[in-house]
Amino acid sequence: MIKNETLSFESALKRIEQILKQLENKELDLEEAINLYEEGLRLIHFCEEKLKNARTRIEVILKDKEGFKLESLEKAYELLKNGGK
Amino acid sequence: MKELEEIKISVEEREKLYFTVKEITQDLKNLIERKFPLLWIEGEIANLRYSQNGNIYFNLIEEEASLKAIIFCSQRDVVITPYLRDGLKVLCLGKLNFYPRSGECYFIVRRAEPLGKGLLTLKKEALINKYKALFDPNRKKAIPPYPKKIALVTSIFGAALQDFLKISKDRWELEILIYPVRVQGEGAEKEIVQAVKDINTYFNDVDMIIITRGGGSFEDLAPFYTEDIILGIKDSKIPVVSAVGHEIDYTICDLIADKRCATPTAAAEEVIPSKEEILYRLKLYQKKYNQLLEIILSKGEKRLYEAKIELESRNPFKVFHNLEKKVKELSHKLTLEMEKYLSLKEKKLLEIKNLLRKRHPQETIKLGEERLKFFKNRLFYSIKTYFEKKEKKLENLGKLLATLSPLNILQRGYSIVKSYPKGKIIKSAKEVKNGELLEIYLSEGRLLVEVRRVEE
Repeated sequence: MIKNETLSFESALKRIEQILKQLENKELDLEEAINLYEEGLRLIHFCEEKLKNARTRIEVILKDKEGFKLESLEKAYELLKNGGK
Repeated sequence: MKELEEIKISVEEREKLYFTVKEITQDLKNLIERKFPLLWIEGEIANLRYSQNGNIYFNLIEEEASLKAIIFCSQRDVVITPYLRDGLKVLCLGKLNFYPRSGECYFIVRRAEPLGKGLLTLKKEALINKYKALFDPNRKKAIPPYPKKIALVTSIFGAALQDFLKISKDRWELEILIYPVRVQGEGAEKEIVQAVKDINTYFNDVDMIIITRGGGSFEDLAPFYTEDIILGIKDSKIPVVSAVGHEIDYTICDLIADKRCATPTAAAEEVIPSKEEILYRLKLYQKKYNQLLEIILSKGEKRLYEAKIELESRNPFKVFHNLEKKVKELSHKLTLEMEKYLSLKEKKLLEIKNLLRKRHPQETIKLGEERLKFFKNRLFYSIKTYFEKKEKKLENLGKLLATLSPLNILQRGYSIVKSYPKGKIIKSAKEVKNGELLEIYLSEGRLLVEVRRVEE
């Protein structure tokens, strides 16, 4: 059983698939099966929540003499317009 | 033959006009060089050799024909010359030069283009050959399936970036860093290599680096066919995905990268998981969970049901009930059987009784009595009948006798004479002697008489 707070999406998904495999074992103890089922549903819900809010954030790495800074795409576009990259 | 003879004749007839070697070679030079200013020649390279002065010599051949060719050191095409080799088919641009000194004609090559395989292919083959070990699939790093942060090395003005962002927008919880570089033209590969290096050094939390650009001409793609690209990418700690232009051709960049995608769009689709897809998958998992649990539950239910049946079949009350029922049944049957048996016996007894009754002595006596009575009656009647019969007969006989009785005859006047006392009927006179006594029977009374005479 994995705690939700520290759970990464990837490990949740892995666990979901693992649970599926475990449930496929038809000889499974009923109580255990129900526990697994509940855990699986909880994890699915967790993943769904995470996915529903999934957004992409875009930033552009700009390099100058002082080092790197991150800019929005629009701003980087303006800044680089003359540079032609 | 005829022509030959004509020539022979004309040769002999003519004055002997001749050229000096110098003259004719000069003429040839003029002829050739004027006739063929700048021209393309297609042929196969043979007998390729590099001279110390930097010139390259080779023969352009085609079947039985051959032409000597030179690439002067000053005109060496930097791009192609390293890939020239015997057997390579080329299209060469140049000029035909005749050298009177040696009496030879040379094709002075200014440009050469490989035929069949393109130049990039040649470069690629050479590089692949050189760095064979680096392209080993086992060397390739795995691409994280669920990245959180990726770096895009591409032109900020290119269509590739737009294509990539279009697909990746809100596809996944993802941070995309764009490292702007030039993706074509002289030195572009150096910028790309620098980007990979910088990302490895300063942005090492990035899950993968994607180098991408759209399709283009071979010249456009040239930076991706360079040795710099190989050397720059091979040491990246972060997995590198290459999605450079062409669908069909694999660039060197594609080959050295840990993963190759055909186009920028394909890269976005393949490398960034789709939340829609995962959501769909999760739905599917949930469905499967339900199905599996149902199977397990129904299996449990079945077992429970079976156990219940089994238990019920062993329920003491039921067992008792069943036994009771059986006992009842048996006892009922027993009663029935008993009754049947008894009635049978009773019947038999009755039969015997009847039989016995029939054979009872009283019965016999009664029967005997009856028989006796019967016979008695019969006897009585028989006797009676007999007597009656006899009486009647007697009567008849009496009547007959009466009719036949001598007395009757006597009545008619006859008499019977009998000896006396003997009583013998006398039928003849001879039987009687004188003096004998005779008894005469008359119809009424008798007479005792004495014989006095006998007359015969």
